[in-house]
Amino acid sequence: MKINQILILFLFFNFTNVMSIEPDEILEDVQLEQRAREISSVLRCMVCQNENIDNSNAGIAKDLRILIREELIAGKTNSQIINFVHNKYGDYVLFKPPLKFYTFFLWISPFVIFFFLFLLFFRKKKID
Amino acid sequence: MIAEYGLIFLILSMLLSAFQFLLPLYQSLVYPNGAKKITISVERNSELIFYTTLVSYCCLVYCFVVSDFSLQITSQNSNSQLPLLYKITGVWGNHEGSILLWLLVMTFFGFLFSKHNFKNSFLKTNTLIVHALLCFLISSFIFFTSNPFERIFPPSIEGKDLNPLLQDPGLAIHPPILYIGYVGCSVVYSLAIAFLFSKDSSKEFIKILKPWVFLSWSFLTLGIGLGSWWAYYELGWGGFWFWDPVENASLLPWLTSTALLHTIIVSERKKKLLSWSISLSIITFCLSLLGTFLVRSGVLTSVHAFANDPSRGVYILCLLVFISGAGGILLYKNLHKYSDQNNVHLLSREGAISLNNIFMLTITGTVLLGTIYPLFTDAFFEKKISVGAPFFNATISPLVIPMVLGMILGPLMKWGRDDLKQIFFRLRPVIFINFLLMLLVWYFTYRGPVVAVIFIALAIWLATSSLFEIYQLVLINLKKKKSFNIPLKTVSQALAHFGIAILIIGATGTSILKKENIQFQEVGEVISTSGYEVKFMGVSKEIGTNYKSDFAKFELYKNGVLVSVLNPEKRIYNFGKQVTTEAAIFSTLLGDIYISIGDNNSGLWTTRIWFNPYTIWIWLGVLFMFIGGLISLKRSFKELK
Repeated sequence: MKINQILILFLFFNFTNVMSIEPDEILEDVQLEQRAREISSVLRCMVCQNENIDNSNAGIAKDLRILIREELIAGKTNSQIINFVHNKYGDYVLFKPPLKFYTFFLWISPFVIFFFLFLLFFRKKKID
Repeated sequence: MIAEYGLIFLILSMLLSAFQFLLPLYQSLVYPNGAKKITISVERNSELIFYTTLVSYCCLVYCFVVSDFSLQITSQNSNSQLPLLYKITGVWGNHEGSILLWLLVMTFFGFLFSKHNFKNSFLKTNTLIVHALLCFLISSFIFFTSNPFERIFPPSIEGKDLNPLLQDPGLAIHPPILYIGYVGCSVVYSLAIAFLFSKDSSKEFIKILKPWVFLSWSFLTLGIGLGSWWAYYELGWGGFWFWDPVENASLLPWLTSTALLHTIIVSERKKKLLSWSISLSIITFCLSLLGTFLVRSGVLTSVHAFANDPSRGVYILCLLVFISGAGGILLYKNLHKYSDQNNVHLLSREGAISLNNIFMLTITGTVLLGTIYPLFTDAFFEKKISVGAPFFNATISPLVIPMVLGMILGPLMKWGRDDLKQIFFRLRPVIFINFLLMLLVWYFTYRGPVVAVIFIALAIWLATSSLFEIYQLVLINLKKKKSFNIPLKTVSQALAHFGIAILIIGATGTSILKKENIQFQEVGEVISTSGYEVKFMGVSKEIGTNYKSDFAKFELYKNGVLVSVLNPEKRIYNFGKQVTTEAAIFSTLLGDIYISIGDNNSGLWTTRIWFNPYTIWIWLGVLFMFIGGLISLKRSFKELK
């Protein structure tokens, strides 16, 4: 019950506040800021329901947003930064799951479903 | 006392539903030839089930309106200070009440179907029997696991508040509309099952099925659109679709019912694809139930997950397994009867429809898998992963492109079999117009990313080809009959496709081309964005019925002329002290100015100002689809008479 209540608290907490990127976090350099947004849109806030770190106002998300910008200024590439965060927090932090054996089926599923249905449906014709 | 009456009527409704499918079962076992006797009672009974549920529901509404806090549900989800509207809509702002609403809509559909006049009494009776079984499953679910009339002792003096996010007119009407769509699928399911039991001709079945598919599809469309609109203005991020599990859950039956209504058109015209129509009818309702299961059981957390009670989850899971299992077995046993009808040439109208259906089902499968995949890896590999917007955008967008092409070319192809050269010949004017339009698009959006240009160009092509279709028909009719009569079928189809086209433009603009300004803004300071000047006029404290608010005032100028005054708010609700943001939006066809306010930092306010290009086109698109659906609905009801 306690955990549920805490979860519900988080839920309200997160959904009742607007996009939490604050004006003082935004970089002067428009292109770097654009890249920062691209990176944060694929990173999940670890304590929220289903939000990326741009939309979250949790402390951990803010820390990550600042970290990303520091690394960008230091000249790291997007994938270097995402890898760094991924290594630190694990798969859960990535909204786009990495290609591994346990996510393989997820990634190939659109092709599998499409070809399965296509064959199921248009195969008939060849027999005729 | 009223609450007890509510419970009694709920039990009555449950017993009546049970009676309706148990009696015929008993009769058919004892007297194999007693069908006629039942017909009358089944129709009457469907009415009774609806009336008893309605009374039960009204009792619950009454408890909310008079703020009877001796009930568990009211004490948790209502409050004496709440405006009357939200007391009433609070009934479905929680798990128990919303499932009772679900049942009410469901029994209403049984009632409607019993009034639906067509000759085939066997099909009608059986459909009502299957439908009563579904009603029974839901009402027993309510009675045994989520009784809304449960009392608490001692009674509360004051209720906790209704979740402030739900205190909004948009969300007040969103669930009933969506439920009409979801639950309409139950009639479609019942019809399909009843048909599998019968030996009737397919033609009549398709004719009877059609209006119900259009009805549920139209309301699903509108319901999802309303939900998305609410998310856009209430959550304050300027987004309209978040790939949240609940949104995905509502999208799944929409996709399959869209596929269904296309196969029905083929089934009706060419007596083909009947097995598809039946399968999709069954799958669509199973997916609506699956959505409910995913949301209610709490296995996937989301804003809409009112309660996380495992017993409810298990019950719905059993229900789902039973309903989809029964449908699946029946399908498997009977499908061979219709398998010879699937001979479709790819290069024809029905071929294009089928191919698009395959794309649509691929999207359905991908969304479904993406939504539940984290559960799967957690259970089998003990790996926690996230599947979110970036995954869905990456996998779904490439599937949308060939689908839009299919929507452009399909309606201009011939039934049966077509020729590639002839298609090109017929399409010449459209291709020429589009070449010009694409140049225009390229010229105006060349600063935008390539994806945006592709999607907008495709959407414009789709829009023009939909209009071209209508134009062609007008031309033909003018020549032949000298009249403006256009077949409604084409109008509704063209309208719906046109709706999709402008929806794509709106979605692309809002998600890719938006411009943002986030800053600490001083009172009197002007921010310029996309041809508008936004002047911050300050924040005052206001007191609402059950909240206090920071009420901001912005003046919006275009070329120095005041066009609008916008008042975004930040509200703190009296009970629970929850904070909500109310964005202020100024909509034009070219885009929305979207303002929300944040915190006060020693005199400077955090203000977030977005320019969201074409956002209004999303809702317009939904509206076009809804109207298209309604036109088809009206036509298919007329055809039956």
